[in-house]
Amino acid sequence: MSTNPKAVMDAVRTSGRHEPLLEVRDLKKWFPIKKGLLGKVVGHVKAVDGVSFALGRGETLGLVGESGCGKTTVGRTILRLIDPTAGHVQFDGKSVFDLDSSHMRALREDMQIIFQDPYSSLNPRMTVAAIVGEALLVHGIVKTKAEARDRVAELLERVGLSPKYVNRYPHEFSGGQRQRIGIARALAMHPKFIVCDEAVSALDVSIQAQILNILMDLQEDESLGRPSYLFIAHDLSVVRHISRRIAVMYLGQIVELSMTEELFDQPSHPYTRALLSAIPRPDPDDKPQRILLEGDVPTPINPPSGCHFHTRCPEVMPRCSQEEPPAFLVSGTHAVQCWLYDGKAPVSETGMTVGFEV
Amino acid sequence: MFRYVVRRLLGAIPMVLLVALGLRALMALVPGDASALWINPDMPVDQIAKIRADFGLDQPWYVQFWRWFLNVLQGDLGMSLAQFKPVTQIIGDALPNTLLLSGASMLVIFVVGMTIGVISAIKQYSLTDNVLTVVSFFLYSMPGFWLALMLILVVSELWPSWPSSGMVGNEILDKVAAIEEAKLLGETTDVRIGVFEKWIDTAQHLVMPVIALGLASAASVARYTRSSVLEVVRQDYVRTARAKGVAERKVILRHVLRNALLPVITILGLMMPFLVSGAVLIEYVFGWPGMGQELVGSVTQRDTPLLVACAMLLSVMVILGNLAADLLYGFADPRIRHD
Amino acid sequence: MPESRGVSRLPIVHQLVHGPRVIGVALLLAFLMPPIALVFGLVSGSLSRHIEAARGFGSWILDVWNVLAIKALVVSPAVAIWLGWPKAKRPREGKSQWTLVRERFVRSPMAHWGLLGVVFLYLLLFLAPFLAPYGYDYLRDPANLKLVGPLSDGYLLGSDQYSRDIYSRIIYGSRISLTIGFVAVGLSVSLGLLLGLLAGFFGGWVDFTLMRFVDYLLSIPRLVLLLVVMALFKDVVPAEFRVHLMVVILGITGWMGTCRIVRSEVLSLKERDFVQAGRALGYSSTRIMLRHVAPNCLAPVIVAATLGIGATILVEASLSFLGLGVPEPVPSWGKMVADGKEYITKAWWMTVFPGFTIVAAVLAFNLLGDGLRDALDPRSSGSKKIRIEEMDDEETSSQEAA
Repeated sequence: MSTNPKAVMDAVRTSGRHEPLLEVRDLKKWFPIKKGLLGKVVGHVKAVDGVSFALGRGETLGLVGESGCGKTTVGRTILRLIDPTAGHVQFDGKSVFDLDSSHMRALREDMQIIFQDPYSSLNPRMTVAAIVGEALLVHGIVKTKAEARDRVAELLERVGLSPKYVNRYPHEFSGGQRQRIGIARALAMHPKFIVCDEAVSALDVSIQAQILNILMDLQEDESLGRPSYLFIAHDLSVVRHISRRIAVMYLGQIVELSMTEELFDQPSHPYTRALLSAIPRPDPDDKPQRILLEGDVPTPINPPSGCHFHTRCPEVMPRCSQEEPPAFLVSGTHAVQCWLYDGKAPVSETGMTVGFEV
Repeated sequence: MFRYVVRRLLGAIPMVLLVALGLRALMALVPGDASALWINPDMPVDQIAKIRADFGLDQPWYVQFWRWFLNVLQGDLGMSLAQFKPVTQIIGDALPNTLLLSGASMLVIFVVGMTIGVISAIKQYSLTDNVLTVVSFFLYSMPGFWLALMLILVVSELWPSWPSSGMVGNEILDKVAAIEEAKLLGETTDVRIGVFEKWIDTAQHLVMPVIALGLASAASVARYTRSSVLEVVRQDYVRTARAKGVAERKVILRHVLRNALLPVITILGLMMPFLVSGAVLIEYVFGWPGMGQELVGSVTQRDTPLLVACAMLLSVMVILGNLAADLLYGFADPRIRHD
Repeated sequence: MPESRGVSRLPIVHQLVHGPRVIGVALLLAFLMPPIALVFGLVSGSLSRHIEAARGFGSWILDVWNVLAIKALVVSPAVAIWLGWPKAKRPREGKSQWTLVRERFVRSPMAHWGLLGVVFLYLLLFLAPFLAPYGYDYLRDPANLKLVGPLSDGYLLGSDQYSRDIYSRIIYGSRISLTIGFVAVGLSVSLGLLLGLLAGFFGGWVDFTLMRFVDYLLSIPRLVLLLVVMALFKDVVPAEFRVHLMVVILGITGWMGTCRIVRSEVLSLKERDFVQAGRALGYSSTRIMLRHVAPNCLAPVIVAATLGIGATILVEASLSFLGLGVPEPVPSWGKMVADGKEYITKAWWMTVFPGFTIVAAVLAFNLLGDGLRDALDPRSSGSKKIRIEEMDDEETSSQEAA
């Protein structure tokens, strides 16, 4: 891997084949807090406070962080299920936030989402056939209900469910099966990009493995167009299995982004190091040094100045509370937002959008 | 907390005004001669002229509305067509009686309803509970006027001497007549109506109407209380109290009741319209001289000003009742108190 | 298909033998309806007499049902045969939510009684001419009006001061109360559903203004408002249309409760993931509102409608009691109680029986509504049980193990 980041960046940018499918730049979502009779805005919950990354075709980017760091909001805002406060999203050459509603509706065929809770993500009053197949009819991909039913049967087989279940209702299935139905629904229109919003977090560990494998198999399937995934989760070991690259989020910002194994070999941000040290290991003799973080998680309503992590960082310096650090390139595929690397690694010109080449 | 009170009060005022306007608008919608609604041709001529001027009956509708509105704000609700008295005066006499009836009923409803609800909950699924549930279903399905008539029927058979209509007993009426007569003749008389005597008389007359009015609502309060208590009893903090060894009675009184009875207060507000409607029927059946009876009387006598004024005031009672319930709830629930 | 031999292959017999007993009995009764009605009519002598019943203002409700009743009677044996035809047991096609609800409903005894009561009331409504020995306005001997007590002189429950039969009037009265209740509640529930969906779904100022409007309307007690309207428009509206006016006003004053219920359901449903999924899949707001959100709102609406019919019967009875309801000679239970008020000590039967019927009717609807509310309340433990039972397929277990 070339250590000259600029060269890498130039090479990447000039070879058109490696245009990112999705490019997110400085995405912000602030939720207003209203008080009083007239709903005066007294503050904002800064759920997403400047997130940037790029995603290639057929690639899986894992997005990890603790609860409340804003990762779910990122996923939904990119899909425009939530209106953004600021920022720019480029998907497949189109600027997502500037599209009008009819173009947006067309674009939705290409970007989908799988939800966390298998018990509330399916309409209890619709059959599986209707749930999975409705989109096909609405967008005109098939013309008749019979065609739709055939496609639904195909999709169900793809996710490992017997097609004879098409006329059953969600409450007749287990959590893992429901999640497969959700995957089938997301796949129906052969999207190029799927946000997996904690898609396995609510399942038993053994089922998690099955669902992960299904997701990975689907990505290999040429006939489905090899979708890209934004895999949002809080469990690093799950993310490690499925992701090509991982982004670590803290309090609305990405603090580190790297190729998966590189992240585990060389965790650069103090927060990442603390996270990794907390992963339980099956070997009872292997007792790693647990890095304990001091203090409470700050509130996203009033994030700390400078680097958001400085209040809990074991390696905090005076500069950290004064200025927000830029993205430093530890390698061509590994960026960190931490003052510890000032002087030791070059500043990335394109922020966190590194290493998406497939 | 103070802000909560103020906010609620401010919210109620426009509601009252809107209700008044709405009812007045209904009057305006009736086709035909508008002045027939306000003026009885048998009234003395100067009265007719005064009403015409005060309410602007010959003017366009927006002037009429405005003048009527101003009058209402000043307390002038028009002249009763049938009784030739100012409506305000009639209402002034009738309102306290209705308030007495409603207030007493409210008390009975909550005391009886809550007690029965708690007992039912404690003895869940026992015979007592089942019987009480069936009985409350019956009461809840009963038309108030019918219950009233049945009560009258039963009581007049079993205790013929107990008063079953009106608000004042014959003895006191005779005394009042005697005193009036003496006044007219300019004589003195030693006929006195004791305060105590009057109270007892009124209370006697109150019993049956209050039972008739309160029983159905008490039944629904009982059911609501029962389910509320059952829900609280299942909570973990009750289990903890029991596990700590606290005596059962104390568990119920301190932990369960306080939390279970709070939501019951919320239905106080919801019950107001039913209470007021019920009061109308009960007053009619028992001849209780309150707003309800004036309302019904004004219908048969085609006394529109009185009709609309009564309707207006009964709605105001509902609004104020809701307000009181909100304030009470705000006071009782510590979560709102410390807002 | 279960072995059916000989007799049990006949339509209704099949149900009696194989299916749930209740269904079999119901079908049998439906099939035998015409002869049953005939026997009743002959025995009570009403068949000949009801033709002589007088017609009055506002009696269109009473007459319409006669026509419908005849049609229903003719059709009912055919319907019974069709429903009872033995069918091969279909491969189980998936238990919808409604099947679950029905199962839960079956468990509650009170709900049963409620359902039976309501069905019985509707039978009264339909078969009134056959069940009532006299017409609702029938004067046996116009020259000699007298007041008699129950079980005397051919009057089952006594007569009123115009010597009309109380029993017959009560039966015909069911047509009035139930029709008015049904139509008025249909109106108010439709209004409430629509407005609740709009308010909950669109939020913002639509929601705000609608809710303030609801609060405003709820400040005026329903009976008081009805009194005012009926009184003000009593002379303007001809007697035939008084009933129409009453039904419309009842409908307009009854939608607020449903609206609030629907609105809160919609608000909670809006946050559910499957609605978000609909948006992600590019469905239009209208589609989401009508095909995804609305069907999930129906449960509390059905409960509210059932309880609403009971409440409407009470309000109509109160209005008629005060003299502002249906006009003469239409028999309304409330009006009958009012007629009896003057004679309460001399002729107790005039108030007791009609009033008791009101209680029974309202009670039936309340029990039914309560039972429906319990049955429709999704209890997770109940549904989980059913799911585990489904998991006996080989494919399922092998896939889970893979």
